[in-house]
Amino acid sequence: MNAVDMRATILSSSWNDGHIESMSGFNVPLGFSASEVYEEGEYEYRPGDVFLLYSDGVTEARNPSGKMFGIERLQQLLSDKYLLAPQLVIEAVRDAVTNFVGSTELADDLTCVCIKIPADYAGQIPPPTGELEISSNLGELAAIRAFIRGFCERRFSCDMDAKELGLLELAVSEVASNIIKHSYHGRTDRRIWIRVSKEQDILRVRLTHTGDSFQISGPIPRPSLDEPKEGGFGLFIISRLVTSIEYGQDAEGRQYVEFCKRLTKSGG
Amino acid sequence: MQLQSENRDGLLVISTPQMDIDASNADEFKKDTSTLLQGHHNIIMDLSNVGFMDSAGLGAILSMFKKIRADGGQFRVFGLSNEVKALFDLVRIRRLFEIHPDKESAVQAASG
Repeated sequence: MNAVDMRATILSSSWNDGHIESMSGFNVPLGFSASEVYEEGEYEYRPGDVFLLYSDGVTEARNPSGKMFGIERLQQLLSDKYLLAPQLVIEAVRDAVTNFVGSTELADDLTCVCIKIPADYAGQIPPPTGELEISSNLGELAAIRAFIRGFCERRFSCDMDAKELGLLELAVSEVASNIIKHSYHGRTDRRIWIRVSKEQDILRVRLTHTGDSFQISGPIPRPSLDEPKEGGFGLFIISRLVTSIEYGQDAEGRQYVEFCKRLTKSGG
Repeated sequence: MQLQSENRDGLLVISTPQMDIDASNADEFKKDTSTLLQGHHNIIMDLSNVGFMDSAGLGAILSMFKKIRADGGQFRVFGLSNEVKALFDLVRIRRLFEIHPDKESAVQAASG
């Protein structure tokens, strides 16, 4: 969320451990340029978390000696004041900056938004999700794997070892490959939408497409290696790597393949 | 695809650049390895630079094995990452050819 300034950041302070971190955007403010493509970020919040978005007019305000207010001072202020109501947090920031500058006349605009997650919000927090839209090109398989890996490696997502993550990437890559080859019959001008979400110890991945539906019906036997064929392993691999798999059509009439994988801390 | 081959005492060791072998390039891998195999009967495939392999990549490896077996030759692989090893274990490919942890072990077995 970067509605204010190129360097607007989000600070959160959970009442559980007082942890503070920053998130930064690198885009120009909303409305500044019609052609700007905005980078999206996600953050998993917890009950009691406080988000403070601010413009650089806060951190770059200077006192008569030329010293900047700075991010550390702002973080310390948030640590001291996060239990207050959001409006009072903002007033505390304003008062701290004007006291620091020594004047209510500031050189730059000062913009601040404070969002507090209620302490009793536990049952309403949506699961972390990630979404990706790609072309139906086998060359995009590496990007799909990188997307899954990126989602799972972010601190709030999954506790997986490298092997389990590698097998998850394989499962998603195989499903995508089947969609491209069999649902889209190799056409590269179509789209695939991938959505991944984590709910407790279940990772859910949905691949949506507008091609012919394909289904894995019943258990897939391990392909025989006595007369080894070069193909036929894809569906077997998918069936062995996921906890469950379902097929359907979404509200927009698109086909989807959705599978779940139960995460194990000891590895897949 | 820039595969490299090393000929040592009748052994052919084929290695790859840092890459994934998936449905996007498995056919090219199959074609390029097929060219390198010609005239050789004792082949070792170095997979230590392969970070990811899917069923298409697996199929290309099996294609190599089939060609070599049809010529009465030997085929071994080494350097599997944990993820590629998990794939090979899933389809129980050890029944077909040896998987070695490193080059020395593979060369020693091939020379024996």
